[in-house]
Amino acid sequence: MKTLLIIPAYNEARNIAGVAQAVAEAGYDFIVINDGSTDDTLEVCREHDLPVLDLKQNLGIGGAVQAGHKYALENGYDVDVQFDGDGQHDIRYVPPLLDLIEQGADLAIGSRFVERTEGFRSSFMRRIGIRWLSGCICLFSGRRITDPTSGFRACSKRSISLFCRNYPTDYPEPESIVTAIGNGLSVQEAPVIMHERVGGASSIRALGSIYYMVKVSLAIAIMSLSRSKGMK
Amino acid sequence: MEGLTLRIAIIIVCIVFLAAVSRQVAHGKLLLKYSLLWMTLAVASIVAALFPDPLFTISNALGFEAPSNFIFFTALFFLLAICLSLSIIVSKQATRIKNLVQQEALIEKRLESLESKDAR
Repeated sequence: MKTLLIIPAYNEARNIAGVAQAVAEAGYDFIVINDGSTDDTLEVCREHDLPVLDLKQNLGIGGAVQAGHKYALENGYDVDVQFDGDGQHDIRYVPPLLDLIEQGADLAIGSRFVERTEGFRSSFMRRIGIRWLSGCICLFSGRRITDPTSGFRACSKRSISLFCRNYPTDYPEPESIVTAIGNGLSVQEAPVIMHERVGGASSIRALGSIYYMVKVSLAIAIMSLSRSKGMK
Repeated sequence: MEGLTLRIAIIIVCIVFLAAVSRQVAHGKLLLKYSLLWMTLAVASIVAALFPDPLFTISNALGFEAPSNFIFFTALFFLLAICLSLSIIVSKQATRIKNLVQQEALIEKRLESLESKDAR
């Protein structure tokens, strides 16, 4: 299976070289998506000769990852794995995700909660939020996803082409799970351990978290009720 | 007819508004298709000021206590519709910009790899 790691990076100048090095050492093809960073992310990538898609405007995590899916589709990759540029994800957990895809899953999610794993499991409040979203997804799609906000995910060719057509822009993870299930794709989870971010800030800020919960819940509800297939 | 001054004032304001909208279109600052809603609104107001009787009839028939309430209600509804259409236009444009930015980055990347192939 031809595999691509998509590394979205927004103002990750301090981490990106280290993350890219770990990925390259593990022997995967990868592409850094520079999401209109205002720091030296692009310069650092050029300096280390990293393959980079340079988005001239900041599109948010959804737009950046979708650009990666489009790149994977254009270049004939069988699988792509979203792998964050902030050092939260561990390269050692990529193979289990790929195994799931090989066994027929279309979307393999690296979950912090499927087993009692050690490592970074988020703050208490955030875990409640994750539970809530998990409940929403279960209610509207009938599937229990333990870690719907996880950005550590592998996509099969079918998921890639779906997400190229239709991927939400700002907080894409939970919503895109519902899209995938709604389009009859198989969604599976594998246990992973995540680290606390090395630098940078989460795309989910403290003040915006209520907005986040409302928006994502609403998106999940609208999406499942309308059952619109692959738009945009 | 009572309220003649008011009606004349409304007509003048609407004509000025129409002129301002047309001017924006002529100067290329406003696309004709987006000006149509506003022009319709202005023309409808002028018609209502010229022939107010149907307005009173409708207002009474629908059970509004005063015709002015009916006018406020209709105006508010019109404005809401215009606002919603603006949000729709903005969303459509956001999607288009996103697609363009992604497309541009992909093309740049392809160009880069072609150039590095040529250099070898």
